[in-house]
Amino acid sequence: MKGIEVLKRGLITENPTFVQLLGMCPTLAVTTSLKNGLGMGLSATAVLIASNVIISLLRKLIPDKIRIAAYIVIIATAVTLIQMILNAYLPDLASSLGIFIPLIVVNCIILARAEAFASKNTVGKSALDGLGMGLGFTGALCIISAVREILGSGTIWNIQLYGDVIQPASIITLAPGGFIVLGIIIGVINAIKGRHESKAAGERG
Amino acid sequence: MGDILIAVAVVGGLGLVFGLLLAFASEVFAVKQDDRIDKIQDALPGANCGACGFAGCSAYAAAIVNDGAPVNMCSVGKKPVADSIALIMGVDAGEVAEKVAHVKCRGNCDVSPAKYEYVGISDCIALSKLAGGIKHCRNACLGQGTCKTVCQFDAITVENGVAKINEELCTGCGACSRICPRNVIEMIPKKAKVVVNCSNNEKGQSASRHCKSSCIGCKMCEKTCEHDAIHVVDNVAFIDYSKCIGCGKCAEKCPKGVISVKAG
Repeated sequence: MKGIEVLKRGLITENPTFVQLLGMCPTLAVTTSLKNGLGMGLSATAVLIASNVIISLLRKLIPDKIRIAAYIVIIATAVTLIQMILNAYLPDLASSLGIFIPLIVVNCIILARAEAFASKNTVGKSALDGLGMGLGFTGALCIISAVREILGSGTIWNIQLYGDVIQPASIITLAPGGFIVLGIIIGVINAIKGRHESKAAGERG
Repeated sequence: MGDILIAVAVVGGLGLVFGLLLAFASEVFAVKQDDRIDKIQDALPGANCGACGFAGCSAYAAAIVNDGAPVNMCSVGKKPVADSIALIMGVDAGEVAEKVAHVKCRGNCDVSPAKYEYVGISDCIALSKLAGGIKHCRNACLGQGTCKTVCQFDAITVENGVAKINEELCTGCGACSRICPRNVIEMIPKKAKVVVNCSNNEKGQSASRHCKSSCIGCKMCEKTCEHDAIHVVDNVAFIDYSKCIGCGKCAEKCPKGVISVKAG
């Protein structure tokens, strides 16, 4: 498998959020504004690359039976590091993401990539896989959070969009709005995919 | 045996290496926190009741230091706590406006008969959803004691179907007032002498049909008051405690005995 393919898989064909539906907790919880979405996505990407590289380096050393425990130690270390860095240099982002930074430890995307990819592939490919999956996750969070911020708060990146003319639908920034937006986006993606597949089938047949 | 040792060595080794890494990182990325936050948090009662308007004691402590919140907002700890926080912050404590909960309803089982027999769970919120509550009056205390459950200070009892506040024990945290589905518990100043014991906002005739001890909105109190301190709003009397001097004239005139003067 070529490097570019690994990247493309994470970004599009096996997008962790829209296709694999992994990591729903941060997806629904922190996507209330674009800033939070981007911050969460990039933090998770950094953790993902770090954990993928370390796990791939140690893949021959870690016995199969205790791999989960070992992975969790590695991931928890990476997350703690990221949390310290965010606290030190981006305190505003750290306080608005709050509990969801330490919760990256139990984000299933990261453990899933460790299990499914990093434990079986070389360091370089694992790093690329981490980057692809992380950016796929970031992109998905950005799309959801941009939609939610525009519709729910009437702003984008904290800039007022339409003032007092239209009352923003604040339900979109609340928990039910997260489900609604995510559902609609996945529905649209599936519809496009379905059309592509039937077209391809039509050309063949 | 060998497998176990390898497992222990690998996980232990990883833990050791990464632990050292984190210890080093925590030095490099250390964030200085104002130690006054911890000191204030120790000084606060730790009930996390939210009466100050913040999420809990630690949120209030952070707000005092970071956002300059007033030091006298803890109604549970009252003056001693305000004084010790003022000492930590080096400011003047000022007056603490002590508050106390007051149940604006005397519609007990005798004067406000039940519409039906309720056998569900003992919770006012559940009861309030069932055919508009057990009493004909839609503002009456439901008497299931949800306020009693949330009170951390054992200050509430339910007597004959109406909640009763023990003012000795009440700290004024307002937890009961927030949980009450009927909004029948009001936080009033502890110094208040005159209280209105009804929140029925129906018009006179139906109010007295639904409950014998109900305010009928006759405005007698409003006419009697010399200090413009009591007004009938939505058919029920309200006292403005910034104006009330506690003379009790309104209580004497009230034809339904809804207004009372507190003892002491």
